Amino acid sequence: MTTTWRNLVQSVAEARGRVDDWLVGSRHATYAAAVCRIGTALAVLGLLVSNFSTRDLWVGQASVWAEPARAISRFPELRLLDGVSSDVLAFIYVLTMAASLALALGWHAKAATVVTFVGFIAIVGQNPVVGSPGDNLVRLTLLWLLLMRSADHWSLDALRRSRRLAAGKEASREEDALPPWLSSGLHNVGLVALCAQTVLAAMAAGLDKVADRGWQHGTALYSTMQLPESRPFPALSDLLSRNEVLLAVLTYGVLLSQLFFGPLLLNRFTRRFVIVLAVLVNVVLAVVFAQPWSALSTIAVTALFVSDETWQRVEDVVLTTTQPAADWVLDRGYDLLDVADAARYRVLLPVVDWVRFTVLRR
Amino acid sequence: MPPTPPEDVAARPRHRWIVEVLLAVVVVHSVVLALWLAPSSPLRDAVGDERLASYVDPYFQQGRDAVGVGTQQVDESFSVRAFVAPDGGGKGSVTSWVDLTRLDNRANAHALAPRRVHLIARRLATNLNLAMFNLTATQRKVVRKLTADDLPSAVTVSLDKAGGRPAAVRFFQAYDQMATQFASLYAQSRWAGEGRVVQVQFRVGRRTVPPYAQRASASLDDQPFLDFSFGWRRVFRGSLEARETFDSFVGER
Repeated sequence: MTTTWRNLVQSVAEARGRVDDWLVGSRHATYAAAVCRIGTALAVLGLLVSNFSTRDLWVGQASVWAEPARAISRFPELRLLDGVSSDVLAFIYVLTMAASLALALGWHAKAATVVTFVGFIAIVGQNPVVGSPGDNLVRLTLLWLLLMRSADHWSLDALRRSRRLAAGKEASREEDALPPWLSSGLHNVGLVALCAQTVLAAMAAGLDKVADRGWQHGTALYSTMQLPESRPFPALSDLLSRNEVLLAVLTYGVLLSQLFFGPLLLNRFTRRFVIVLAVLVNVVLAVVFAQPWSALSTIAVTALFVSDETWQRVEDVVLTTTQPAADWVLDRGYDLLDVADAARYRVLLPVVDWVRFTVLRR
Repeated sequence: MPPTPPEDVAARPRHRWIVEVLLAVVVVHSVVLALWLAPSSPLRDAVGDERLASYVDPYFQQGRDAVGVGTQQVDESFSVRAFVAPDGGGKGSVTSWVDLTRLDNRANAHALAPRRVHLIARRLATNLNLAMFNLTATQRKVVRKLTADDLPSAVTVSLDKAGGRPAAVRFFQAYDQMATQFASLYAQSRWAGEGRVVQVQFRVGRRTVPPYAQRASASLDDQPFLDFSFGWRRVFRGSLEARETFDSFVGER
């Protein structure tokens, strides 16, 4: 009995040690986190850009009619835009767009994540009547990205860090504000939480559908495709809804990619299958139902489950194939700089000299 | 995966419990979230819907439709008309109905990223229909008889007296107010040239997509809308800025 108990305690201690090593040893899925950061930021940017011209009606003074729905929302961020003028709205709107662009580029990514998160809630939450379920996914992803180090790769932060290290300097204080164990721990805990969130969201959506006869028969999307607001491209909707096979493939694709998302991630080969399926399904949904931003945010979190080795291979392939094009662009860039320099010497400086010697001397 | 510096690894036992606690919090959070998203079950009922809702609201708020697309079978419309008094005095007149959802659908045609403002009319219609379904038959009769002179407080009393759930009454009144204000701002821009808008009226329509089995013989366009007209409402003026924004929005159409 004592031996069994001792073995059990030892096993628990070993498991705890492995968990500890995984949590604080090094940061995991850093390439996947970068893809998630880029995809989510582009989803936010796309949503804000596509609604920029109608922002006053959507979330500004002209959305005063939505006040009863806004009043029951408990987001404190909504006060940022409470009763503000059109100019203040434009400022916060543009600031959030700039922050999401900075997040996509990985420029001061941590600060950009905070501003994007707050700005996104403040803007999108102003008008709950026209909110989209995809908004929740974006908000939750940004929330967990706050804990994560999402700019270790494919970012301007990473570029700056590698340059500083190459020059023998330390990384910037912003990146090293936390001790490494805590930084890694927070990243890994955030990663676990975001992955769990993604799996739960997918499986809940799948469970909700599977009891419905339309989803069982592979015809559930037919009725949605008939609704005027869900068929921006009528010819495409008709093509899919009139063809039994295409309709069933798409319907079952949606159902399978959600219901079995979690279980299929457990095996290496099925994981690849379900990730590819989820991405393809979301690309189709983005076009057929005109939901590009929520589809992009779903693809961004799906990318978390692609291994870093795969992302590194993707990086190698992209770099190899685009190297000639990049060289060409750089060459042309230098040519452009030469032309600009020549213009500066031939046009700008003589004009400045003329102003200094003729106008100002008087 | 940048490795942790060696000196930090040596110090790990001192602070590993902090990260372990964080992980435990995340695990508990995920279990609560799973319960929130799960279908009704004895376990979920034991925790209680209200307790779960108070945890997820607002930052972790989400439904079962956060990813992908769901099934919708109902097409809805939201139409507006107004009673306009001529600027120079004289007898006013009632405008014809304008179906805002149809205008929105036209604006969204071939748009890969439709604007959120073109969802307003449809969402108001959906929620007004839902609000009416939540009311009892007696309450719906009260709603049918509402006029522009009925104050919201008096309407609440009348609806509460007619039975039903107080939450359903609050939901109806919230969307009635939103629809009135939206319709008013739209009407003032739409019929500004005809005089002063005094009252507005809105109606919602509802029709269902024919079943998949009947796709060869019936289409959605063959189905008539089942309309419900709400009574006349006193116009909501709104701020100058709001009216100007609506002017440019209506002018685009």
